[in-house]
Amino acid sequence: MIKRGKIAARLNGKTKAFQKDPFFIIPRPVSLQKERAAAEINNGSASVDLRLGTWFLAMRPTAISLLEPGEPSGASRRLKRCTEELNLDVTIFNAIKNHINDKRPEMSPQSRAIRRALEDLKLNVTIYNELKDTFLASDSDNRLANLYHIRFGEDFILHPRSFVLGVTLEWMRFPSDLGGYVIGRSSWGRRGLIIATATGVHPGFTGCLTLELANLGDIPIAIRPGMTIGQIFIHPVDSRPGDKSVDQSSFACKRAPRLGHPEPDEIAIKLATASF
Amino acid sequence: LQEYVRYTLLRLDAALRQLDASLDQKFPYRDAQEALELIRSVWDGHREALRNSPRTGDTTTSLRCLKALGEIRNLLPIVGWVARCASPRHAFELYGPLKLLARGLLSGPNEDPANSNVRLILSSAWDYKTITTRRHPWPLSDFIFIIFPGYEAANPLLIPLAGHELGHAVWERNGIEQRFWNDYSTQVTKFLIKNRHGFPELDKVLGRVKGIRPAKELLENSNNRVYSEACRIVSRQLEEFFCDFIGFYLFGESYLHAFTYFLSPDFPGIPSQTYPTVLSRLGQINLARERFSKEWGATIYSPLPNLSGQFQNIAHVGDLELIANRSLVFEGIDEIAVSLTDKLREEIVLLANQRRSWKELRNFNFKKRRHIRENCYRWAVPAENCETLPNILNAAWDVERDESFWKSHPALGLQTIDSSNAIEVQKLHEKRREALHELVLKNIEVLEYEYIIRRPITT
Repeated sequence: MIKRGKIAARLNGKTKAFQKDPFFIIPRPVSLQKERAAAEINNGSASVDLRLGTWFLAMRPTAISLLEPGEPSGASRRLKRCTEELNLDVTIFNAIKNHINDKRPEMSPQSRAIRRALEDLKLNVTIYNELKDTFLASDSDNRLANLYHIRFGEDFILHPRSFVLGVTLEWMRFPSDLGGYVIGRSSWGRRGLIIATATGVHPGFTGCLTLELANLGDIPIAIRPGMTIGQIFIHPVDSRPGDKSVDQSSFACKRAPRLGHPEPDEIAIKLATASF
Repeated sequence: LQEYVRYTLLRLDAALRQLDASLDQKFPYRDAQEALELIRSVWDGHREALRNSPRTGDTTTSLRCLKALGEIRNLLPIVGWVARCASPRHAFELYGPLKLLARGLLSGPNEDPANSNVRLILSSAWDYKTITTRRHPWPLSDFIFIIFPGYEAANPLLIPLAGHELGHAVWERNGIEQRFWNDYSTQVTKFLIKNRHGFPELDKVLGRVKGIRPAKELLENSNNRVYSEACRIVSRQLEEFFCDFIGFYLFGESYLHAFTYFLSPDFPGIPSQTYPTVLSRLGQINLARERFSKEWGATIYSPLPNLSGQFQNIAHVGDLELIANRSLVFEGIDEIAVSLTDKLREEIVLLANQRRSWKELRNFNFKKRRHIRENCYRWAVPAENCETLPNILNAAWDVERDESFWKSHPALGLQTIDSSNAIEVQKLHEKRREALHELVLKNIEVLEYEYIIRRPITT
């Protein structure tokens, strides 16, 4: 791994070799700015803080049959009890019930409003729907997930046991002789927030890093664009700066998270279709 | 209750239900919600008044019905735009910098843009062209609407066209039309006196009158249709020229490229008399470049590439009669509008020199643009300290127009594909274009981030 002082020197490097294959982190973290470079030489830390970006991609709930038409099901009764206990107006109960019966709740503004109201009440009610069709992992991003933009100064609530893709605020370009590993911050980890599961950053990567945000705790977590959410450890790769043999799959050049497609390789296809 | 009152109430109910459904969604910025709440208060006010109106229909009640329905008609498209602005298909990064731009542009000479009430709605519509509201409808007089075509809503290279739409607000708020009224109405009168025999109705009104002033008075007092229509067309054409100059003032060369991208080879459909021809607009933008360079230095307004070859005055099939009419009457009117463009440019110079906030808006230059292009975009990374939106957009258009820009980029270069395969080459170009759009939008977000962190912390 490389210590922070050296990372700062590399980012601000003016040597010809570095300029042929530069390393960028934009916006530049405060600790790596030119004015701080001299002070950071003696800094023992080996990581760079990463901030949360403004785009989020949340999976739509999967299709589970829960209600039988015309019959008060267990879910409906539970909701009724919940609304009674909270002394909620009967219209709210009806709205929630309609929301459950809505075939595609995420598509209707009313349903989104109900969901928001539930969030405001800190009710982590997961409502599944009976859908005529279900989603498959091979479907497009548009079908599988909803994209959200949260402006600076606003919160995104990550409910217990929910999962959402986010991005780093920083756009990076790794030269051919550097790689990286992203991990969370312990202060968030202790509250149940996990930020990445696929953590390696290859040489040549360009773009914002996708974060896989999951709340493993029991309380909702408000995350806010611009907050420091993780850190990256940078390490040398056995290659010379300027080496143009870059792994093409690592070039993303994206500012918002996308699902991508897990493509089976030749061996996986052969194994999946094997018959004797 | 009279049937028409009942129907009006039912229609108000329906409109309010739809509006409430739109209000339920989560908006990306507060201005959107405020716009809908203001519209709600207007419609709700009519509903309350009609509910409390006398049971028998009278003139006041029927007039209120008309007013209520008129305000549904006028405000409904706006509800649609606002409701749609929350779609994640939009590039929300544009919002903050464009709002700052709008506030700077629409501030008075001694007004601090930070205290401005200007609010912005940035959205899209299923429409071919960019849209704004030319006259700001009550109760939304502080709101600026910039509506891009749905299929281009996330294309950052077209942001300079927002400069043109903002120009309409500058035109209205600064009363430019009134300042030009005497000039253009006098010229229209001269033109009509000269060509009076082509218009029997006009000939009858003017009789033996020869002097311009009495003729003008006569035409105005008689509410002459030809005269008022000719004045309206000249005024609208002047407004379009003015908006082009504002777009160019704000964004420099990138305005010209966005203009060309959007309008070449010509605007399809029936040619509108209220728009100058595209070639004429292009020529006038070039003249604006000369004037602005003289005023503020050639380091700001670059020499413009000759793009006239990109445009053709195409004879639209089926529109021959209109084109013939245009050549008979409206070419003369076009000439009147063109003859006043020098004065329009001077108007912009005057407005700019009176306002400190305008000076900051045209803070863009070649050096910064070259730095962004060569030291950052060359590596497909956003730039720091770009200072202004136009610096980013001018550099972005440089990249867009240079097909060989990323030829040796490790991931976007030709070496990454089989260049003899046309499909692969096409896909590479698409990949480059997508990379450029992502890069520019991220750069605009970095610009906003830098703006925010420069400000002191407020509690």
